[in-house]
Amino acid sequence: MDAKLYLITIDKNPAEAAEIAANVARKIENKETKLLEVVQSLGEPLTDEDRTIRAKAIAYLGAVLNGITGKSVTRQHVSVLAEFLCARLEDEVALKETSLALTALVKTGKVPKEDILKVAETLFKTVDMKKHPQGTRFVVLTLLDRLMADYRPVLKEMGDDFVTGFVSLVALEKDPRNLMIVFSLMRVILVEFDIERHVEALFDGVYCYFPITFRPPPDDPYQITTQQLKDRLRDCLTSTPLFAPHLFPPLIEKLDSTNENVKKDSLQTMVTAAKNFGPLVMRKYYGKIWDSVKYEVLNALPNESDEVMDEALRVVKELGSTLSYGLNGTVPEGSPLAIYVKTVSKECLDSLKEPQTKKAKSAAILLSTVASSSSSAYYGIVVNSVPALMTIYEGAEELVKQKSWMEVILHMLDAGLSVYGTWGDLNPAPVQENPLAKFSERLFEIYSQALMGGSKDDTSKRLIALKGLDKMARMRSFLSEADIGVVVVYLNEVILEENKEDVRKQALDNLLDFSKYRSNLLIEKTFPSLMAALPDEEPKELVVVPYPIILEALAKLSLDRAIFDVLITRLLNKLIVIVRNNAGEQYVQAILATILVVLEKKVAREDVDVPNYYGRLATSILTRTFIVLLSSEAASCFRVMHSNSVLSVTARILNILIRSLSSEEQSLALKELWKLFVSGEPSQVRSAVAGGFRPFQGESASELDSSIIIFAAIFAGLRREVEIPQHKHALPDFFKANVELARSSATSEVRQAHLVITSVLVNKYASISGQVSEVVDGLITGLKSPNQSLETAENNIRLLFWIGKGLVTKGDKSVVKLLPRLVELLNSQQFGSVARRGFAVLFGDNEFINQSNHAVLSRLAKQKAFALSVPEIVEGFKSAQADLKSNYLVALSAILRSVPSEVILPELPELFPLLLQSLDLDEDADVKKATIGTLYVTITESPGAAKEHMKSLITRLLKAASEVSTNPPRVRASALRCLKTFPSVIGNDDVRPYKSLVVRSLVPVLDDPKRAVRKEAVTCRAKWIAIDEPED
Amino acid sequence: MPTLHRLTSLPPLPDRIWQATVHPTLPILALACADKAVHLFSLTTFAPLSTIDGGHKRSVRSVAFKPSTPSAPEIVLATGSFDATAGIWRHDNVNAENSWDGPVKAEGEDDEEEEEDWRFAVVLEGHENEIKGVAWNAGGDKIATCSRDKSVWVWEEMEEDNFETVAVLQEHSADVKAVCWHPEEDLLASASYDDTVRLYREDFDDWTCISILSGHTSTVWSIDFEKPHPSTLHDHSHSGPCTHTHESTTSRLVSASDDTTLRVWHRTSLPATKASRGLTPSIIRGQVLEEEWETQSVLPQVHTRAVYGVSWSGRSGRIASCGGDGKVVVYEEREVEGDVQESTDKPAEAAAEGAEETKEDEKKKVPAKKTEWVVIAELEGAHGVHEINSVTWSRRWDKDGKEGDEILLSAGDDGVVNVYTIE
Amino acid sequence: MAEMDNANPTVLAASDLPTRKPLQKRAKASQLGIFASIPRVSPVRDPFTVTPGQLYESDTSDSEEDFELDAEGDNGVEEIDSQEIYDLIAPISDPEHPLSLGELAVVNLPHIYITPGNPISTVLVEITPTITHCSLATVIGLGVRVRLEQALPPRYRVDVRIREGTHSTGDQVNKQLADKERVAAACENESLMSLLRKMLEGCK
Repeated sequence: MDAKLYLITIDKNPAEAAEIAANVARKIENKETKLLEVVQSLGEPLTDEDRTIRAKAIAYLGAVLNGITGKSVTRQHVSVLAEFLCARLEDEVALKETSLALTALVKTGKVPKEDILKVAETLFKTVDMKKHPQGTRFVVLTLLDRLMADYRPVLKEMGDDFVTGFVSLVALEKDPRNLMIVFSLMRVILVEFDIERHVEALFDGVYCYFPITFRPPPDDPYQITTQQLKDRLRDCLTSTPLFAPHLFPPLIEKLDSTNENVKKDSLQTMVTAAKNFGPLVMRKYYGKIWDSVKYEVLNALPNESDEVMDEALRVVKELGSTLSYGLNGTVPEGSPLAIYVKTVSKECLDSLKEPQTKKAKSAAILLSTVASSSSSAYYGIVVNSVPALMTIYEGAEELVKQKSWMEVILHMLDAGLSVYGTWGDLNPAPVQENPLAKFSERLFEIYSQALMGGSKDDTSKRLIALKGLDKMARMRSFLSEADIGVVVVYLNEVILEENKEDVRKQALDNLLDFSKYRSNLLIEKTFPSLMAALPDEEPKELVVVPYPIILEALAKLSLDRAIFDVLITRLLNKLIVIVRNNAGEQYVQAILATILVVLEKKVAREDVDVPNYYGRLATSILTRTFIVLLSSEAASCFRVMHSNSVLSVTARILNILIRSLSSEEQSLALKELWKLFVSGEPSQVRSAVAGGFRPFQGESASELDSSIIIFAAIFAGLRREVEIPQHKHALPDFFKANVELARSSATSEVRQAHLVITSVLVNKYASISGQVSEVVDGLITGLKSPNQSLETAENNIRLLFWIGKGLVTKGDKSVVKLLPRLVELLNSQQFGSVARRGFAVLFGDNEFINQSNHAVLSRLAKQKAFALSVPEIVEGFKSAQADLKSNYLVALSAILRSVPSEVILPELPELFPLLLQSLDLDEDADVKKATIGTLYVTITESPGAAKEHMKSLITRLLKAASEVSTNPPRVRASALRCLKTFPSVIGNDDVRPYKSLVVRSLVPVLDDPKRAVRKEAVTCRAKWIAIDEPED
Repeated sequence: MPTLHRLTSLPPLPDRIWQATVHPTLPILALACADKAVHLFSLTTFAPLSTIDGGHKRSVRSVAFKPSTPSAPEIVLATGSFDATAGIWRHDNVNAENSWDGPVKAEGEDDEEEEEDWRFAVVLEGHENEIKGVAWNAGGDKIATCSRDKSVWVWEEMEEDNFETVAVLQEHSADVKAVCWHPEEDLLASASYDDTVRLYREDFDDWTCISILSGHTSTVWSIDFEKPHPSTLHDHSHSGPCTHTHESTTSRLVSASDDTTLRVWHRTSLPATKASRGLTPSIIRGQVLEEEWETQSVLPQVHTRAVYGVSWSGRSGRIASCGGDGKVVVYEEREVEGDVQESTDKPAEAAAEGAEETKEDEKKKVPAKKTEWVVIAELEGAHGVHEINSVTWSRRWDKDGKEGDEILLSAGDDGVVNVYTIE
Repeated sequence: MAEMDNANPTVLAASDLPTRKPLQKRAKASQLGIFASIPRVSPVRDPFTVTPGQLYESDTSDSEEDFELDAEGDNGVEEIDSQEIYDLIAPISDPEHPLSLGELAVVNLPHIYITPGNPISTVLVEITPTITHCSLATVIGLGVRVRLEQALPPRYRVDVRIREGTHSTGDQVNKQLADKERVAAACENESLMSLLRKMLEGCK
């Protein structure tokens, strides 16, 4: 009755039916019932003439068998069942269920050998796969797979019968999932079975699928990819050397196909075949393969991508390495490798006679690729081609030929590098001597002459020479130590003489390579010559090599520790020398900037040694740049240390140094700096108390005031937990003092320094939040009172926004109240024009209030502030009088430009009208540029919003691009860049109606006075002209 | 020295205008434009009338109105296009003249119903590639088309809208640039990239080339026959009356070329007898050329680049030219004092090849009055920096013009048509 | 594979092609490569008082700003010179090779002549086919002419010619290239235009 139940439910509810079968299986396992009883209970349904019932019965049997293991059945039962099921195989309707049952049976491992043979034979004899759907074929193949897995020796014994049977059974299988099984079975047969007599049939059965052109359907449930199929087919094709005679001819033929993928597949198959078949087989075919594959490199077609050439190069390389199997560095006379390298050398040399031609360039790549396939191939190629190459050089008079020849040799040097490696390599170099070394003298001479001799203005010759010398110096056991030293000297000279930008850059890059494996040479030879070239005073007229170029070289070379230490001492000494020689602001700033740049690069590289430069650098920089000014008898020449540009660099250096320290180290450092800058007491840094520098006490020599910038930079770098010295309630007083100074300081730099300190205090020290809100309220009410002078009002607004900056950055809740009040300021004749610049402060990035300066950051700070202010701005804009509207647009453009686009996009529809109107702000080019920048980003990411406003957007952008009087070049250029993207980003259909308008209106812009704007106009117009030309 | 005064400019078309032509009797201007359409304007109000588009797949290079008499006005337009086809278009509501004074309705009113009055009648297919020129003969029963396939086709309208090819003339060795019919006789002229102009006549329904006019040193872009104009004197210019007493039929032609020059050609030998013409077999390739035309004079050199357009006024006898240098120039023929001699300025190379000059032909030449051509007006930058492709004379129709006044129209690469008067 | 006219032309190295000498870079340290990372403005610049062009911190180092304001700053006029014409046509790719007309020396700076005039100036470009019987000379000439007519203001008349003695049928090609009507017709011929579009793709 279980059986009957199963038969009823199988159609309606297969899961439930499976449940029933599983229970029965469990019962058999725990010996409650016997398998035989189950079979007998199936008595009549199994023999029912209605096929579908029979099929369901067998399905039930299969499901039960699937649930049981070998131990609960005897061999005898299994054999009976096997026989019964085997007979059922002819019954086509139940083929799927029978195969399933048989697979389950085989899985028990109890099926005797002769039954396995019977199953296989019946399968081959009776089943005609073509008649069955892909699902049934899959089950049959799985059965075969199971047989191959568990009973391979039995199948092998069948010998030819199995092979022929299998081939005809699976012939013309189309389904990718089934093909995956066919290919893996086929591979086993090819590798393990005796197939001498069936090579032809087997090859045709497999090769007929080549090349795979299957495209997986989008909703493919089995997720078979084309690449998987291609790889499995390739493994099959290259699994037995017996296939070689049948495989290579058609593969070579396929190279004439115009379809790139076909060519690539054939080449890839050749590479795997060469690798698998080995030298004995390949000796018969390498000649023919070389003859056809070489053309894929020599005459690459214009429209063909490089991939075909790369695959072809891989083939010739594989041939080289396969034929060198077992030889290590030598090329026995007459061996296939010898013949191969001779043919390759001879044929490539034909084209290399004229080195400057296109064919020569591909011949050089071919030659060097074969050379790099193994140490013996390299030896063979060098011996067979380099002597001839040298004679070609001796015969080449014109410069073009010499230069192209030198480029050819670069490829040979690359081959040498791949075989012999560079100094830094860990693996051992090949044992025998580098065959190219014989020519190293002459080559070194040719390339040195090209670099240093003759006229210096042939850039391409010098660039090739530099590359050649670099490769020679890096190749192991090629140049002598002395010669390598000479190369470094050449590079120093090239850097220090006047020539083309890219020649100097290449020389510098080469030197950088040296710092990896010969840093001693840099310190001994390069540093002294560069430092010597640095002038001791500000050069008056145009010098051969201006100092910034030297400083840039020094900065680039000094990244690792050893060299950086040397640089610091040398530069600081030079600093004092040039200041004593009254050097100007620019040169002094450049010296300090070099140190700053290296520090920044080290921070970016997360070098761990940055903190310990504080001790080494901070004091010496402070003494040289700030303290020296305090001593009354400081010579006037040190005034330069006080100029803004120098102070900016000093401040930034100290900021980097202080912020890298731990909080303990920071509080230690702060103690001293506090005495120096705030309380004016003597400190280790400055023992003598001299000269008045107590800004916070309101008395300091005025021209020293701007040194507070250094303190602001230091203070900004402090971590939150660092306490300020003196007593505990010093913080509120320090805050008040800064607020006062921020409102009253004379020069804007000093005022700005105090504003930064105030902002940092607001951001990092929650303890003073009470005072902060007090000050904020005071400021706002102050602004309302009529008698406040404009100047104080402006200072108050600045302070408000900088305090706002501190609050917004940490996402303080008081911002909810503050931001709308700041937006209100826009709607005033008096304050609007100042307040509108404030939003750039709130939303823009500040180098001292950010993550690297340990500011308190809230994750969604900008998003919150955006949500609080932008809707207000949009509302305010609508109701504002005409002449105040621009305040809102300026504020909005500042926000939009500093906020990630995903924040802007949801609001874009309302913002668009405002953005369009900001394009009309003729008096504010920066806002226009910013707005165009925002439009550019938002349109590329969500073209939808732009679609509704196409007409006015395009007319305004055209106006911004063409009206020279009201738009500076950078606005005109960015308008064109924005317009350029429309066809591709917004799509042809929406832009087509405007095509003739845009193409015609851009005609005058082709005559724009500025070259860069014209360039943008040309590309933009070309894009619009191309609209609607049917895609070819 | 009279000047070219720009009366007005028509609103610019979206693309370059290749040719402008005026209806023989009605104030309608047709413009062949590179936007694949023909645009029609009224010459009374200079307002747009209608546009014929969708007819051609490529630029329309040439347009020509079928000649019609005031008594039986009909408006039929032939268009030649780069898509190798020529089209015939008929305008149906041919009512009284005034309807063509331009819609009395306000400017903005749409002239929708005008639009669909243009009916596409028939397409003339046969040329292998771009058609460069179309022209109706004086009688209005034949059309000539020429194309880059070096051939000139003559089509005859058997009955309404049914045209038959009556001749395929393969005389030129290169791209044929323009075709033009004699104002009275069935004499066809064609200008070509092979630097020559050829003339054809039909004898017993077989069109043959009767003369080759070579002399230009580069492509001949445009040609126009002298029109018969009333023999009454013209009181123009102080240089004294200039009577154009020539043979009964005016037989002069002006040609404009890429070599920046313009030449006036005249017939120097009439066929011996009309009858004899029939006898001389004209089928052999090197057939005897029956007429001999020579350069009568080369117009004064003004243009500095290719001359694309030329038009010979029927009213004033003046010639206007335009070219790649953006200039419009007007020339006038003046009597030269002194006794009448043989027109000596026959440049040597004008001797017609092939036809040897027999003695009695010489006698046939009618002693011509000695004249010379003078530039009477020149306008630089007529279309700004753009090249000018076509000029054409026309009666003045607009309200401030007096009877018998004449205007000149020029059309250029800027898609603009300028209208000039000469004061 | 159709037989190539010239399967093996001489190829110039890219660094040999004439380029516009970059404006004398102001030798201030802050402009140079490695120093570019340092902001040009002082850390204590007051954002409320705006100097034109430097409203926003990052404005000064706006990466897309690759153009150099020459001496006269915003309002100086940079005339169109032959280097600019060369830069417009050198990147056009050859129909037969994945190389540009510049690399193949089909277009060369010394063979570009500008005759300024008022109001109309003329540009003459002489092209040198890689071999004397190159059948593609007309297509290359057409490509150069179409590119210049699209890129130059209408006040320029473009003449493209094959250099004297470098092509067997030079005169015929020159006549075709000078015929404005045939050029216009060619631009409406689909197959030719798709070839031209491929040739012009290189001009970014």
